[in-house]
Amino acid sequence: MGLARRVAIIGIGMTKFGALGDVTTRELFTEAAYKAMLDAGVTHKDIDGVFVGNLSSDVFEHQMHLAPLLPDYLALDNIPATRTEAACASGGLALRSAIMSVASGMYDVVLAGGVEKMTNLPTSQVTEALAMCSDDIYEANLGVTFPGVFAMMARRHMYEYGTTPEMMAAVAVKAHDNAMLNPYAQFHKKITIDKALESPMVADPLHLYDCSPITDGAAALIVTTVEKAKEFEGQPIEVIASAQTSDTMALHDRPEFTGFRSTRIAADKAFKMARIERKDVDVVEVHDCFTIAEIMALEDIGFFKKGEAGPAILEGRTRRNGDLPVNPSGGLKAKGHPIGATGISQVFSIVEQLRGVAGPLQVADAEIGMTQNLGGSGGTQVLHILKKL
Amino acid sequence: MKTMEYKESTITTSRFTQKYKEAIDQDYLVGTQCQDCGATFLPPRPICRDCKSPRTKLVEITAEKGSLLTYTIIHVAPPSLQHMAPYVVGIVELETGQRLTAIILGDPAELEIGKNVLLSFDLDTKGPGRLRFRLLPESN
Repeated sequence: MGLARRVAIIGIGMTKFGALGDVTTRELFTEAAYKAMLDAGVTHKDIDGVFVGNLSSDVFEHQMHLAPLLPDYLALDNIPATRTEAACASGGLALRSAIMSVASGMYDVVLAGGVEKMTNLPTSQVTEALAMCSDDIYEANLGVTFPGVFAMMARRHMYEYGTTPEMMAAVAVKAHDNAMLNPYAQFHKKITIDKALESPMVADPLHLYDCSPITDGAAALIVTTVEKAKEFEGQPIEVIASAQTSDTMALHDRPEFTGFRSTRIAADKAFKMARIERKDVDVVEVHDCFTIAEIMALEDIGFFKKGEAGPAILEGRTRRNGDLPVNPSGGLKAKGHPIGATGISQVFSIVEQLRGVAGPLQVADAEIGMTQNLGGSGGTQVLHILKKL
Repeated sequence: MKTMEYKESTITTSRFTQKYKEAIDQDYLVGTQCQDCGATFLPPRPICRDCKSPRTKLVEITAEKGSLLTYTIIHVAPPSLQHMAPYVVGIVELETGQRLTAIILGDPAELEIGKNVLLSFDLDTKGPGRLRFRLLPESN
């Protein structure tokens, strides 16, 4: 398994993330996509196909059949357009689909985007919509919410490995510190461990500050071959691995609850495809939908042993100047989590890092970066590894 | 011949989910047992996860007790369950080995991983949502 043609990302674009009011899904997507096209130096006639990650414009905006609507609004005429839905990994899957279509030779230049407009609904209705990403019959019907799923994992992680609420709060504190410097981020306010621990309970032991917010936003990438990239202005960053796997839908059907088997399998595949070691990764954006998810992701990818990620985060080892900078963008927690856009936005941040244009967020000497995008409670995993050319 | 086997199996005609719902409505649990390797699954499934055989049949799961593997107290609930919040949800391993997620009844102060629970059903609810587990006092 591998990429038949070498693939690169040559353009990136993003909207501001946040509660953006009366803007629509199509408008958010068009802004991000057009920015990515400008950055790459591609025009409408260069683009062969579109993949767009979106969880649920159906529920959030009463709009289905999003795939043709978005290129329509972007004025991309008569183009193959596909929507990917894999819960919170919808964006990562759109990119992976784009990569496969380019690597295979089917298309030469592809637009991979992600978008979500979530704040039209009140929190309780968003909670209900997101719960549809768990098993409706055997989980959601039984009163499980998404924070609830991760709370049950956190409880078990605390029980088996001694992980503490302070360690989880430290993930949130770091995320907010990084987001302070990210102009796209939803939150620009510092928090403290005490403040995080004093915030209201959402699903015990997860407090409000352990949870990523409800966010509007879009992100887009232009994908082509390393060879073809020479024809365009955008600085190319190579995609050296793309890995995806699934797992059981329901958490209770898995042998353990303190991590994701799907992350471990996809990470092994990704490192094998990239022909690099874990220690070669300079910067990583992981799926911190909840603080415990960042702890588990770092352990599952193999950067830390089980039970050691929490203490490492508390010691500051995952800060921008630490030995493994994690989520310098602010992550889902503080940059925001517009579901379908998240996987694309993670790659946007890594491309900026590898190009060396991340400004105050820049990690020193970043040459290899990685993204981990998780769907549902780990039913889908999409991982990418990128390298400076 | 393999195709024949599939045609003859319950897979083409099964309505296991409906059978599960009907059983729950009558206060018991049904799963499936693989007719080739003997593995038992709850909720029921048409193809054995262990040996991939499509020859499975519905069986009653007779467990009455289980132990709590993990739990959470839900404070922010979806609209349909807001009236119950805060409520406890947990994953239980039944004495027969299978695992299910459900609302846990009992004193939240008594909650602890490993505690024993009793299978029960909410009389006011229809369908899979009526499954409950009740914390057993002085368990362990």
